[in-house]
Amino acid sequence: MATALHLAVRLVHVLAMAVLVGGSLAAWILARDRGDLAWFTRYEWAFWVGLAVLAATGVGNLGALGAPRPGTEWGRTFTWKLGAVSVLVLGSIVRSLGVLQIYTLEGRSCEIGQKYNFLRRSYSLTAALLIAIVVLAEVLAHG
Amino acid sequence: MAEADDNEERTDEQVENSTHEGSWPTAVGRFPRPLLVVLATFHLLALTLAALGPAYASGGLSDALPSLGTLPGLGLFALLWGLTLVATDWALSTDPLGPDLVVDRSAILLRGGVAGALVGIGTVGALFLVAIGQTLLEGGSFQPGSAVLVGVIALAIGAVVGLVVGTGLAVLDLLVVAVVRRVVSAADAE
Repeated sequence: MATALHLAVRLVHVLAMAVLVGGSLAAWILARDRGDLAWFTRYEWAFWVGLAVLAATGVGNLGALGAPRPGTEWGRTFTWKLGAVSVLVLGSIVRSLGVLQIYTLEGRSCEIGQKYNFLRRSYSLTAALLIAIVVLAEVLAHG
Repeated sequence: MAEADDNEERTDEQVENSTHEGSWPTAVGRFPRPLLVVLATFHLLALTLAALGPAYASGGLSDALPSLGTLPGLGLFALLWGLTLVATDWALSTDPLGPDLVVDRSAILLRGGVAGALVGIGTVGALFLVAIGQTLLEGGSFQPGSAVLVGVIALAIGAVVGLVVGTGLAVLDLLVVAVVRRVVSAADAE
C-alpha cells in the first residue's frame, strides 16, 4: 500500500514537471510567434498549480526516500536543487505578474508588441531553469 | 498596419472595453482568479521554501518528514493552500497591477498581517481538532479543561506566527509588484 502510494506520488511529481517544462517551451515558441496573450495567462495559472503539486509531491518523496544529510555528496546536490527551485519561484512570480499585467494592459497600450520581448526572454529563462532542475533531480535519483 | 490605424480611431470607451479585466472570472466577485491563484501559490511556496531550507540545513528534515507521513503531509499542504487562497483573496481586495491604480501599501501590510494570523489560527485549529479526533478514535481520553487551555495557547502562538509571516509576505508582494512594474516598463523602452 505504502509502495503504491509512493509510486503514485512520484508519478504525479514527474507528470507535473513534464507539464511545466513542456508548457514553458511552448510558451517560448508562442512568444516568438506573438501568439494570443490569453494563452500565456492560462499557462501561468497551470504553472503555479503544477509548481504547488511539484512541491507537495517533492516533499512527499523526501519523506519516503529519506531527506539527504547536509555535507554529503547527495546533500550538496539537494542544496543546489533547493536553490534552483527558490530562484525559479522568485523569478516566476515576476514573470507571472508581468504576463498578467501585460494581458490587463492589452488594448490600452500601443506598445503591446514590444512586450513580447519580455515574454520571450522570461519563458526561455524559465525553460532553461526547469531543465537544470530536471538534471539535478536526475543526479539525485540516479547519480 | 490596418490594425494600428483601427486602434487610433477607437474611442476611449472602446479601448477601455477592449481590456480583459471584465472577462476574468473572479473568486468572490472582485479579484481576478489567475492573479489570485498565482499570488496565493507564491505565498505558499515561499513559506514552504523558507521552512524547508533551515530545516534541511539543521539536519532536522530527515527526522521530521518520515514521522509526518505521506498522506498527512499532503493533507497539511492542501489545507495550507486552501487557507492561503482565501486569505490572499481577502488581503488583496484590489488588483495591485491595474495600470492606473495607486497601491495602498499600509492597507496591504495590515491586511496581510491579519490574513496571516487567520491562516495561522486556521492551521493550528485544524491540527488540534485532528489530534483530538485521533486520540478519541484510538480509545484514548483527555481532560477537557486541559485540552481547552492547550488549544488556546496553541491558537495564540499560531496567530502570532501567522501575523509575522503574513506581514513578511505582504512586504515581499510589494517588492515583487515594484520589480514587475519596472521590468514591464523597461520592455517599452527597447
